[in-house]
Order: sequence, then C-alpha cells, then structure tokens
Amino acid sequence: MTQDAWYPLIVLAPVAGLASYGGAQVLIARLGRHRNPYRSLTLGFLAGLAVLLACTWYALPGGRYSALDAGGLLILNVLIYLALAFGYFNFVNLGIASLRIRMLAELVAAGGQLPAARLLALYNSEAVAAVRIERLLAGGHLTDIDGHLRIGRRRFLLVARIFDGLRALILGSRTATGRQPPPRGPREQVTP
Amino acid sequence: MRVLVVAMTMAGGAFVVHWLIWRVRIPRRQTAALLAIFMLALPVGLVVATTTGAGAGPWLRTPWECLHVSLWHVAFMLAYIVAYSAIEERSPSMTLLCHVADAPPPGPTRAELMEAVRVVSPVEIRLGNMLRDGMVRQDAEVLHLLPKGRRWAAVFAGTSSFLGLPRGG
Repeated sequence: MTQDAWYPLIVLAPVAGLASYGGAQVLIARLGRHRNPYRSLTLGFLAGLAVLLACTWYALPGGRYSALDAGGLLILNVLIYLALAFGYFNFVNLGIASLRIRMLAELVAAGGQLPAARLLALYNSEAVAAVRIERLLAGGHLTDIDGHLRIGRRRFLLVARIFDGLRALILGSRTATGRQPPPRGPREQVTP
Repeated sequence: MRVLVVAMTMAGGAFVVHWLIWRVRIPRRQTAALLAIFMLALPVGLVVATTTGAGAGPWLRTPWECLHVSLWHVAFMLAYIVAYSAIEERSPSMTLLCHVADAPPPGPTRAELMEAVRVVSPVEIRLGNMLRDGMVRQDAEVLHLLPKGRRWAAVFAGTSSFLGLPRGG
C-alpha cells in the first residue's frame, strides 16, 4: 500500500480513540453505578488512548514515513485525542458537578416554575461550598488534619493555577484572583 | 512534521488573534466571538496552506492532510471554548482549593473556609447567567423554565441516568 493509502487510518485514529473512550466509559460507569464516577472517566480515557496509539502505530510503518514525519504525525494525533477527550470529559462532568444543571433539574422537578428565593435557599452559597468541600475531601484534593483543611493531591490545584495564569494573560491582571472584570456591556457567559 | 507545523500554526494564529482582540476590547458575546475567530481561521488557513509552500510543494498536499489539520483545529477550538468558561470565571471548587493553598498553617477550618468564599456567591452568578442565556425567565419573584433550559436539563438528566451518575452541583 502506498503512503496515501495508510494516511486515512492515521487521520481517523483519534476519532477511533474517542469512540473507544466513550464506549469504555459508558460500560464501566454502568457496571459500577455506585462507585466514584471519575473512575470510569479515567479508565475510559486510558482505553481510548491505547486504541489511538495502536491505530497510529499500526499505520505509520506501512506508510514508510521518515522518523521526523512519523514523530510529527504521532504528536498531532495525541494532541487531537487529548482535545477531543477533554471535551468528552467536560460533557460528562457537567452532569456530575454543574451547579447550573442541578438548578435546572430542580426547576423541572417543580413543574417548570419555582420561587426564586426557594431556589436560592436550596442552593445558597454555604450549601454549595459544603458540597464542594466534601467532594474535594473525598477526591483527596483536600485533607482534614485535626479539623483544619490542607491541600492533599496537587493535581486540581495545579489546574486552578494554570487557569489563573491564563485568566491574567487573556483577561488582564484584574481578574487574576478570580474577580469579575468591570463590565464593558452585557456579556454572554457559558458557565456550567 | 509538516502537517504538525501547519496545524499548530493555524490554531496558534487564531489564538493570537483572539488574544489581541481581547486586549483591545472584550466582546459582548465572548463565546460567539471565539467561534467566529476560530471558524474563520480554518478556511483561511487551509487556503493559504494549500496554495503556498516552501520547496517541494504546498504545505498541505492532499485532502486527507487538510482533514487531519481541520480535525485538530476543530477539536482545539471546542476544547478551548469549554476551558474558556473556567478561564473567565473561577469555579467554586478552584476558589476553595486556592484559598486553602494560600492560607497559612495550620489551614482554615470548614467554617472559616465557607465564610471566606461566601462573597463569591456562585448561585446568584449561575442564576444571572441562566437568565441572560434564555434558559429561565423571572416574573416578579418566580422563575419559569424556558424551552432551552428544559432541553439542557433533559440532555444531562438522560446522560446522568444512563451512566448512573450522582446528582450534580
């Protein structure tokens, strides 16, 4: 087969990886319904990554690419898969962690209308913070030492710091601590 | 390596344009503006990459190479737009984590932490977002679910139920 004949398999490898991620994640989530939902997302991600690497690795020698080209194609495929997987993770995570989705579900359960005060009372800032603190403790991101909270696993904190840096870069230093910048007019926000 | 370079240049170029525009003036509809920048960059980049080159031929030489670059560009665009909501506004969990990390030893108690983040008021912010995005409307003191909000709720309720996920928030 010519190089051109192998290239479609290389292009479709990240898509196959994503399909494997989704399929594996659904299967693991349904089999382990009462377990930590992030377990299925992690294992599904690894399954998809394995499929991506296998497909890409299978196609590269057939196309007889130079080492430089093969390396470039492999890196590109891994990056595509990471971007697609990030999107899938966030789609599933919205159902787990999104306050907005939870508030909408309350409105549906109430028949489509609810006094605003009641919704705000159900999801007041204290209640939200309490749920989030317990979730962070359960995930090991926070630890409780004699009633005082300290950082546990640093992964999520690292992500938070990276986003703070990006916020400062894109929106300016006024928002580096998470405060809203001064409004320049009505803004569209897609916040979960 | 050629395809990788083209893909990174196109996405990087779109990001630089986005950054420059945001430094001048943050658009009113930020997500729509991001979509417009990245979607415009794709055909422009493909035209340039297929009609210019150095040496043996154009930067992109076959339809499959164009598709490969487009796949990366769209995946990156969607991932960035999803990440942008967290860039724009720090989530409650990230706020809690950063507050604990920045606190001196021995660290805050639960009560102290909840008091410290109370001013962030994520619930009111989410409600304001839903009103602005047309998911709910408010008449006097009552919230009414609109069709867009009902659709969102149905999609995620179905997904969560199918996957056996815990209730969110």
